[in-house]
Amino acid sequence: MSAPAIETRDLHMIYGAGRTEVRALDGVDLTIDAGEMVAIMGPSGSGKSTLLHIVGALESPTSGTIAVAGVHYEGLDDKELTALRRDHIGFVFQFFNLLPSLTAEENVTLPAVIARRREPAIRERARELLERVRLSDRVDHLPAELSGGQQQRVSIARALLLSPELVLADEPTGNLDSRSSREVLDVLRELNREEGHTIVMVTHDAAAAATADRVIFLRDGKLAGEVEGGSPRRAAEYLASLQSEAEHEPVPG
Amino acid sequence: MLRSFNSIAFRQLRTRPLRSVLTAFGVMLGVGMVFGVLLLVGTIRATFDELIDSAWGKTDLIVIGQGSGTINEGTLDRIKQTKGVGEAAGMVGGMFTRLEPDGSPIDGNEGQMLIAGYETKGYQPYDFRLVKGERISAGTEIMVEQNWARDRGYDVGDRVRVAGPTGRTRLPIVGIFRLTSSLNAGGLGYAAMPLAAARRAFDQPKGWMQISIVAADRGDVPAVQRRVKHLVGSGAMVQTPGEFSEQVSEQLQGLNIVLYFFSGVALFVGGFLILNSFNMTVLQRMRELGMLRTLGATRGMATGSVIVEALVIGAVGTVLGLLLGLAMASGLISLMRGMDVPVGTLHVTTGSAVTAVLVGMVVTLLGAFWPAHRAGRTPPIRAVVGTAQVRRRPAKLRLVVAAALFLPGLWLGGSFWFGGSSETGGLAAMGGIVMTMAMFAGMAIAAPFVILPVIRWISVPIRHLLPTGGRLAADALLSNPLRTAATAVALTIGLSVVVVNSSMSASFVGTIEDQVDQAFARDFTVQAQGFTLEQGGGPGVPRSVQRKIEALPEAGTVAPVRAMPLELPGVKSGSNQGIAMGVDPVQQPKVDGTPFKDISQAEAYAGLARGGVLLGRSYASKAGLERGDTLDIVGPAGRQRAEVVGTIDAIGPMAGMEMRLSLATMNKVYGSYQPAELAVEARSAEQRPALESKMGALLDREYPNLEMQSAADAKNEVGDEINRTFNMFNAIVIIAIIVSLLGVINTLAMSVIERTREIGVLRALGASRWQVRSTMLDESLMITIAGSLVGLAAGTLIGYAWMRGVDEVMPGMTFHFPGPIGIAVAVAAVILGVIAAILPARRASRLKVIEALAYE
Ligand SMILES: Nc1ncnc2c1ncn2[C@@H]1O[C@H](COP(=O)(O)OP(=O)(O)O)[C@@H](O)[C@H]1O
Ligand SMILES: [Mg+2]
Repeated sequence: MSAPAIETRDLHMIYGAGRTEVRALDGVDLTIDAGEMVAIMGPSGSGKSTLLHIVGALESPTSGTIAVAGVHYEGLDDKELTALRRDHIGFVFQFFNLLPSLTAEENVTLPAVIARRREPAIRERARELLERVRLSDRVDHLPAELSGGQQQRVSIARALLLSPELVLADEPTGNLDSRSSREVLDVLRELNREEGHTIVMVTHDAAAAATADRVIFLRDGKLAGEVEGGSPRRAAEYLASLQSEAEHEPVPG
Repeated sequence: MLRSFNSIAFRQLRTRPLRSVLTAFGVMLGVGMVFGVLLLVGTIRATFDELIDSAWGKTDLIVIGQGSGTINEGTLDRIKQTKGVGEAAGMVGGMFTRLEPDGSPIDGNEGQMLIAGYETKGYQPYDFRLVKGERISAGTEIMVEQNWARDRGYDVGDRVRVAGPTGRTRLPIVGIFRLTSSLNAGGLGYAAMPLAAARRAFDQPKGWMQISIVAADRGDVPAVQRRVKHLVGSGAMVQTPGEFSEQVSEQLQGLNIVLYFFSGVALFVGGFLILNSFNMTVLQRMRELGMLRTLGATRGMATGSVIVEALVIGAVGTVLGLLLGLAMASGLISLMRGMDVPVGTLHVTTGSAVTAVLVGMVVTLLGAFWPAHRAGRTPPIRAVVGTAQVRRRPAKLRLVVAAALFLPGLWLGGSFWFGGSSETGGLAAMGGIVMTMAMFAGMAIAAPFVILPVIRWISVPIRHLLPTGGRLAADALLSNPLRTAATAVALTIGLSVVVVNSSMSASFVGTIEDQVDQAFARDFTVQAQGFTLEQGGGPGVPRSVQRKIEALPEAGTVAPVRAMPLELPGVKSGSNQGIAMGVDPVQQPKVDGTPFKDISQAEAYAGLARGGVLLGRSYASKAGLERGDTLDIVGPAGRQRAEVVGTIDAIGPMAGMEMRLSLATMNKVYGSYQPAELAVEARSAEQRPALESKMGALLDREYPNLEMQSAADAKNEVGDEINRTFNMFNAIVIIAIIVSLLGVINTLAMSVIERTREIGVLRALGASRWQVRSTMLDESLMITIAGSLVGLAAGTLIGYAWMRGVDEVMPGMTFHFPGPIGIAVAVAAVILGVIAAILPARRASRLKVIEALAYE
């Protein structure tokens, strides 16, 4: 049996110091298996993005250990972390973050350019992914000429270009209407099933979370239980119970 | 807490410190450029005015003889009796050469002293202010100019060893006077001597070089000028000091015009840099403005916040820009003075400051309005989400507009700036500035069409050499054509100004050297030190010199040449200032290979011998005269109806405003005077060295104020003269280059800000710091290479086209490419551009990934 896709032990992340100290993560032990699609939910400010950034090697934790596919991050320098990101992890952002001056296809092939891979297969792969996300007819369009949902699907294709083992998505539907959200989620689910990527997705939308195999809850930087995927109602109720326990927390975010 | 809506503007300034600083920096560069150039222009201009003013501040009219020292002795008395004349005084001038302690003459300008002799009692022709010692009163004594004396260690009581028209002597200094605070005439010393002694020392027993007049009633000057003009006839010019100064600057190759040209360029480049700084952050600003609009801010409120921000940035940038301009101008002026370029101390005028401030504030406001305007036209939410159009392919219409702006300046600029422009005055100068600014605006607008293909072309090897950084860089550059072009075009324009300026000077020097080779088909020229042919050769060469050289066994041909500046007859349009050249029709062809149009040399000189004239090309075209026409020439000694034998097929002295006649004709019409120079040819090439040393010994011994020049010396002298003039302008060009380079850094830095989020994405996708950094450096490399190449090409094109325009008014001019200078500046620009990119590149590579991603 291979190592879990993600394994964190006693992860702490503290911003600031003294009076302004914020414990964004406060001892997170989390294991996610290869090939799983997991959703993370929690009130605004509960540390979801922070967790994702650390897993994605965009940020280093204050303390604790983290391993992705058995590779420990501790002791890796910026160069090695960069290489890890490049070769093993794909990102999908809430604000799409496509380069405005590149076409859809150019945006998708960007990771290959960065990884200095120029084989013709890359272009084929890009076309194939764009077809999968149902954008074959928008290949030469600029981001500004695409709808939000379409842009997000381009960024998913971009995240998957080099077939990373792990795909991280921070509120991928946070900026989309429900129909576009549905399309994006379907694409993610399909890719997870067919290509076997591990997908971790932060969301505040119970319907979105329900597409996942498992929904993990976070509150005040700590894990606060989990439910099985599939049922939006179950996820929504659990989240609501978390929020009523902590009345000082504002609206979910 | 926000206290009011407008305080958002101040908050913006604080939360985007780098953007605010860089934009203010852009404004500073723009204002600095305008102010610096205007200061230099003003200083150069003021130097001449100040000189004239300090010499003739009290004088209303100056009478200057045509030719050399030829106002009749009696004219002064007749002027004094003319109605309206208060006082009048005459002056004679002599050129002396200072001697080394061993008695050998000091070469060049450094050794020259121009001494004015005048009556020391009563009204004096100059306003020399005594600062030390006493005024000259009688006998052989001199008073010298303060700065000159200080720099050469002379003081009251010293004696200056000189050689003059009557031999060697020591002139005691009795006083030191002040001419201007600042002038440095490139080594030439000014001095004054009592009239009687001067007449003896200069060997000028009779006549006047100049007469100064004060009107009895200052309001009456024009009438007095008319009466005196009538009195002296065509033998002399009667001018106010102002007119004289105009004429002096005109002779300096249309000084004003060139200075206007640079002012125009500065205005354009300055404004362009400021606009560019705002343009670089247009997306970011649109997003902010869109956000305010979604929150319910009206268009007016959004614009209001923009104005406040722009006012603050503009004010800070403008103040710093004034300081920058001041620093650049004063630095360059002391540099120029150090290099003996004749220029005074920094001359600051409110006009130039006001112009610079206006440019700064107006363009800053315009620049800030642009994103507001675009944000106003796009739906707020699209502006916020940042999906407003970025990669617009530049439209075809743009090319048409660019061509419409570019071509008139390209086509007509040459004849405008270097041609008949001096006649047409201020309005035409304005037109020329507008045309040139339009031309550069056209270049800026056309830039995307030209610079992008060049970048595509140079990106091929760069993609190969630097697979990742190069490719990312090339893609980034090509995918945002307008931003790329805007970054490169500052450099393009700066460099093309350099190339235009240096191709002009290279062409002048090159063409004139070619023609000197033809015209100086002689071994040596003998002439009075310190005078040019255009000045009539000063005191000229005594006839005894000609006889003594002819007597040397090694001498083959000795051809005397007379030169006399005058107002040429029959000129229908423009200035009629020109020169009459008297030559010996038999000897001249042996020492002068100048070609003539349509006729052979033999025919041409035969025509002169018959009493005909040969005309310079400019003169012929301005007077509408052709071969076979006749021309009436009238002078103090007589008149002659002369046949036009042909035209001279070279530029020659006074830019082709020449009338060449035989010595006999000249003496008959204008009276006889000694020749301005002797052209000497050795009997054979082997005898040349012997001839040179014998002539040298003769001149040293008996005629220390004469000098001997080889043909090569003559060529160098012409080249130096032109280069000195253009060096003055090169100082201005240096400002253009410095500012363009800083502009490139600035635009690169701003482009990093605008792309912060993109850089974050690249890093998140696994691009290393090094990749990000090399991408930025490659971008800069490609931008500066492309900007430089296009600048070289555009400058060459403009230089070439303008040279054609010059050719119309100054025939025979051919284009010479300023190879070494142009290429050196281009290479320096590329290197500096890449060095300049290091800072923005470092910033880009050090951005924290998460922060960059969250950047809005
Ligand atoms: N760079 C930072 N500096 C200081 N505090 C931060 C920073 N990033 C996040 N935080 C704080 O950490 C907590 C968790 O943030 P985040 O992980 O973004 O929450 P969310 O669950 O909404 O994604 C919040 O209280 C936030 O204010
Ligand atoms: Mg978040």
